[in-house]
Amino acid sequence: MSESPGPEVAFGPGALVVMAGYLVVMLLLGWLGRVSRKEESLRDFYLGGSSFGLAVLFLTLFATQYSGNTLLGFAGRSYQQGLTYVVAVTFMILVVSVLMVYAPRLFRLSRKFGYITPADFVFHRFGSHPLRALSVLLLCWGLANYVLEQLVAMGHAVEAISGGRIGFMQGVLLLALVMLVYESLGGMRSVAWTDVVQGSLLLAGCGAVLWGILASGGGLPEAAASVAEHHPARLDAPGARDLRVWISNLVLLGLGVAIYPHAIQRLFAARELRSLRRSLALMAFMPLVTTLLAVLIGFVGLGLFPELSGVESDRITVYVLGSMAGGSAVAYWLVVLVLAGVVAAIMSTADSALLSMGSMLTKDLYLPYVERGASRAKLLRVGKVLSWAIMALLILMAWISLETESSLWLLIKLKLEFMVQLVPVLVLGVHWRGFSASAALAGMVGGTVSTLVLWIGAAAGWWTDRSPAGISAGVWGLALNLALCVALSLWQRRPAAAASDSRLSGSRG
Amino acid sequence: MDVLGHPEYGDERDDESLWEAIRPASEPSATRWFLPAVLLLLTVGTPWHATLGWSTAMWNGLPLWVWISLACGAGLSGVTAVAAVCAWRDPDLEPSDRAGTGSPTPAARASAGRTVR
Repeated sequence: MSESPGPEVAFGPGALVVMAGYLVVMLLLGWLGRVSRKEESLRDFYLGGSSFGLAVLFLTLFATQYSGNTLLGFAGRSYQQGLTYVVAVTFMILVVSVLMVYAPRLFRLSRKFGYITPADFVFHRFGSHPLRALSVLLLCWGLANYVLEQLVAMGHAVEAISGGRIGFMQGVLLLALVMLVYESLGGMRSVAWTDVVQGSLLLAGCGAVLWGILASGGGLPEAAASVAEHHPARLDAPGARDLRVWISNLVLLGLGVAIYPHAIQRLFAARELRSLRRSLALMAFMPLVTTLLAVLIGFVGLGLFPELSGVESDRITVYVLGSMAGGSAVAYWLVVLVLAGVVAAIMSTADSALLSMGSMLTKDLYLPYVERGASRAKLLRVGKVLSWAIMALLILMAWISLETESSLWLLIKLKLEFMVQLVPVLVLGVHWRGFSASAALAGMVGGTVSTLVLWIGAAAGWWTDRSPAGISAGVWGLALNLALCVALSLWQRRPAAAASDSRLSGSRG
Repeated sequence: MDVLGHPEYGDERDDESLWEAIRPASEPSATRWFLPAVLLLLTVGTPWHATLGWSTAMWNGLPLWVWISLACGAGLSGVTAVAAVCAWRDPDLEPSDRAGTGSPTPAARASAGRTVR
């Protein structure tokens, strides 16, 4: 292992025993999910039979929404960008506000028509095969990136916890295997029950770090003094271009994260509306605990370790925790708790995304286009095999990522730039009856292609910036997407309206 | 057409039934306050005012513009939570939303149940 620029925590065997115990509990919950299944059906496997009450629903939403990336990637971004990254708190709250715009209608439809995946709604609403297939491909593209990002975070976390005794790839393989086993055993029910443990760990861990940061040493004022000395620009408010980046982040992440398919499937999995409403109300406050914490970790880390490189700064959470752990035995075990929370956050997000991918590939592509008459048992088998195959491919990609210098943030960007192209279909689709299938398809294709062109052009050196004027490619694509959706839908209504007018005038004449 | 207990809407999808079923009794986006409040909080929380200089002063270890942004974030959380709990009403799915009624009607109980396994 190369020399670390920050203090690594020297974890003893006790911490590793705690982690091993945690993994055993995960497997036990997977088995419990298996024996608690009500029937062999896609709804039972992928939505837990829509049986989750307030506690399970809130904790599974929480553990799924806040990933390893929140505590590792966001903190790194805060380190690199400075306080302007406080926008992350706002866009994570905005995610729940956006859900308030379309979830009431989508939840109602899911209850009446039994949706299992978001693409069920897309096909029901628009009746277009190409639109359904493209939606699934874009969502799976985003989710695959999401899982890959979690695998990379897993490797870093296990390496940190074991003090390098367990290598990056060994950590990835170990946690991925545990995840696949409990997910294949009980599907969403197992995943949600493990989320309860993982979400509780994450909440407790976040609380411990927040307390540590604010109470230890000089707290924020001391960090600010150090940042002012070494990187004064990172205390500055955004300038004109940075304000556009701020707004672009609000749009890209506030809208993009709000349509995560695994989050939508948790809406479908609610036992009753009251639990769902209360869970979402609680979720609206969670960014003030978790995302704000990540921003503060980056800020305090900037004061403590001012000279980290881009890739090193992705580990700033580990370094800050390392500096906290040196104090006392209590601090040491608090850090163990936090790192267990980080691992839990990573696993809970990855398993949910993997399950969601398996459900969409099985229900929305395999069933209608490969084997229409497949039995329930066959479909469940196909879904599980697909999950294992996807995971194998992503582990290979995580290994490849070891050889590259890509920062976690780049992966997030790639994910959301494409997923956000589904916003018109889901948000506008539940509100505007005149929104046509061909307009939706044209918008989605136009938005995706223009986003790709901006990315490829920047990579090929045709232009320097893939975020022209500070606005990300995905937001430009979304703007084109929306314009096409609205313009084409209105244009297509004109001939029908004109024909109707002429019939009316004919009958009068 | 119903495949394995799952609706495959195909050629038989009924647009009318979808639009008849889609609207809850009340929803946040249909209120007069939710979307304007969200937009107002996002606007005030965006630190465009920091370029004027008055909000760059430090307070408790962070610049004032960061505190303003966080306060607006907290406000957005509050508005969203109130919208979720108070402005989203659907007696068909949640019998307790039917104001002034004791127990749910059989029809409400039936529609609240899952239709597809």
